[in-house]
Amino acid sequence: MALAISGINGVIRWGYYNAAKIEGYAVYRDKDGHWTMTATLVLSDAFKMRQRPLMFVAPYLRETCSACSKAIQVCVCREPQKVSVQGEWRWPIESIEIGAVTGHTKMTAVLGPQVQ
Amino acid sequence: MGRNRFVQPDIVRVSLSDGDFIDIKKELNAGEQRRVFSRFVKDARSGESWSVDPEQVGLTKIVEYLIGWSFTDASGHPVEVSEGAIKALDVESFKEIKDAIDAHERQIEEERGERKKSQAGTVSSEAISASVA
Repeated sequence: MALAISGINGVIRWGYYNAAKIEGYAVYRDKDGHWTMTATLVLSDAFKMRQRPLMFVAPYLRETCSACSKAIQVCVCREPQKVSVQGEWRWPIESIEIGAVTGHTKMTAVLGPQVQ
Repeated sequence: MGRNRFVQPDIVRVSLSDGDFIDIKKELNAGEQRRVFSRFVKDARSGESWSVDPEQVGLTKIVEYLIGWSFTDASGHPVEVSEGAIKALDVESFKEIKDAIDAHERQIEEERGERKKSQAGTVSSEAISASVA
């Protein structure tokens, strides 16, 4: 299983509500295209976490060049026009397992296909 | 089985002038409704008139209802909804949002009234255990 992305802060949403805040997440993708996510639950609302559907949301901040629209790391413009683009990656949660490990609440979730 | 008594997080898109729109919660839950009230009432004592915070009137409801909007800043970048951004709106836009939310709330209230009327004939209370008498 290959690590697709990892990050520090993410959220689990039920509709427009935050059902949980998570830290230290890692999203894996196996060779068949199935997604799995592991993380530490920081704050969670037991009622909202029991509702469905839940969505895993990973915010990102990407720096691009507005002149060539490429990521700033690969931009070759003489004078790059740096702009920050905020967004989020989102996956529906198909199933979730929560368990305490040495004082931390760890969670593992099976994710559906990424949504735009 | 009874009805689902929990508010579902559904979003309603409401059109505004100039091609803009707002996304609002279809319905506030009890906690959100109480927060709207508690934030604009400064002082409430039983049997006495309430004193309200004029700065909060209208604002607290918008803060609880508003999820998103199509508004952009002077350079065309999308602006995220926040209390600070709501306060920074021009007076006309603030009023337009407040009026749109009030109208939506009235509509939901009417729908709820209609639903209650249609259910009125079916309400019953049944014994949950046999009487010992």
